[in-house]
Amino acid sequence: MNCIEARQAIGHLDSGVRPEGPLAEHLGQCELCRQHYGDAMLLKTLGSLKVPEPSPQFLEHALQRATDEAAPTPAPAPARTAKWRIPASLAASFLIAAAAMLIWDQMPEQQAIEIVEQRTPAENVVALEAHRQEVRIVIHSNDEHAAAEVSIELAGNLELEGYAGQQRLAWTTSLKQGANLLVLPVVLHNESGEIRVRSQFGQASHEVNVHVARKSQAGRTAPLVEPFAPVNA
Amino acid sequence: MDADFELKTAFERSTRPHLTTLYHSAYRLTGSSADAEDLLQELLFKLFRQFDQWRGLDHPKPWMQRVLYNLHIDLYRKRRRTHGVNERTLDSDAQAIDEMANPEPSPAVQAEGDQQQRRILEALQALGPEQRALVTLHLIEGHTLEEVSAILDVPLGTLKSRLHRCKAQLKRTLQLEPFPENVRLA
Repeated sequence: MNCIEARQAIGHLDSGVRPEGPLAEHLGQCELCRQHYGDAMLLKTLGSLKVPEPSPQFLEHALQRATDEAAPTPAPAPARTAKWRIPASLAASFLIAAAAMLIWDQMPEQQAIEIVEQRTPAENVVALEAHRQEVRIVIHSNDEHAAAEVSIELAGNLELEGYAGQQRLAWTTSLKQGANLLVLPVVLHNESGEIRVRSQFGQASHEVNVHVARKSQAGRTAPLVEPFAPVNA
Repeated sequence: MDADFELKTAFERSTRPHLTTLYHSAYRLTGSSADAEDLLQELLFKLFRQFDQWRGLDHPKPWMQRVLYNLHIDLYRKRRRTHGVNERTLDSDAQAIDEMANPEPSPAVQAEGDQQQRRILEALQALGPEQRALVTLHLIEGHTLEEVSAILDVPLGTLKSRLHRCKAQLKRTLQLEPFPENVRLA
C-alpha cells in the first residue's frame, strides 16, 4: 500500500477505528501517514460531538432581557419628568473610585467631590440650594456586569421626583466598564435627609450613604458626600 | 415610531439569525448547556450595549464571535478565581445529551455514545480557554486559521504552533493514535 491508497483508506475509517492489515502495515512505516491518520480521526471525533439545540423560549427570553436591561448608551442626563433613568449602575468589583456631584440647577459652576478609596466614615453632606435638585453619583467600575442589583433607600422626608411616598426602590441593571452615572432627582421636604445606595453582584456588595441638607444646615465647609464602603467585597 | 422600540427591533433583527450558531459555539466553549446559556446571555447584554459599534457591519458574525470568545475568557478566569478550574459542570451534559433529538438507539449504543460524548467534552475542557476556542473555531466549526486569527486577535504563527500542541494533546487524550503507545514502530 502506498501513501495515496493509505489516505483513501483512512478516509473510509470510522472515528476511533484502529487500522488493520495493509493500512496498519503502511502506517507502521510512514510517519506522515500516521500523522494524517491522527488528524483525520481527530476531526471525525470532534465532528461527532453533539450539541444540544437551545430552547426557543430561552432565546426569546435572552433577547428580551438583553434589550430590557442593557442600556446601549449611557443616559447623559436625567429627564425632568417623573420617570428618571438609571442607565448604569453599580458593580461586582468596584475599584472603589467613585465620585459624587451635586449639580446646581441655577449655578453656572458645578460643585463636585472626588472619592477615591476612602474607607473611613466621614460626615458627608450634600447641601441643597433648592427644594428639588439632582444628585449625581458617578461610579467607576473596573469591569462590565450584566445584572447588578441596585437599591436606594430614602429617609428624612426625602423623595425622588416621580416616586412620591416610596422609601425604597430596587432594580436590576447593567454596569459598564468605567464611569456609570446614577442621577437622583431629589426632593427635600424638610431640612435634611439621607440617601443610601446599595449594590450587589455575586458575592460583593457596596454601599454609599449621602446625607442631604439645606444649605443653611449643611454649612459651607462640610464635605459633600460619603465614600463607598465595601461591605463584603 | 418610538426610537427605543426601533433600536430593539434592529438589534433583534441583527442578532436573531446568529443565535443558534452562537449558542452552539458557547456550548463547545463551555461544555455545558447551563454555562452556554449564561455565556449567550452575557453576549447579548454586551452586544446590545455595543450595538452602535457594529450595527453597520455587513457581516457582524465575526464581531459577535470575538465578543463571545472574550467573554468566555473572562468568565473562565473569574470561575477559576472563585471556584477552581476543575469544578466544571460536565455532569449536566449527560442530561443535555439525553435530550438531543436522536432516533432512539439501543441502550448499549446509547451508553457507548454518551460515554464518547463525555470523553470529547472532557478532552476539550482539559484544554485552556484559548486552545479550546481555537479548536472550536478551526477544527470543529471549520473557520480558516486566517479567520480565527482575526476573531481571536492572535498572530497566525502563534495559532499554528498552538494548534499543533492542541492536536497532540487531544490525540493523546482521546487515544487517536493508530497504535497503542506501547507498540514500537519501525
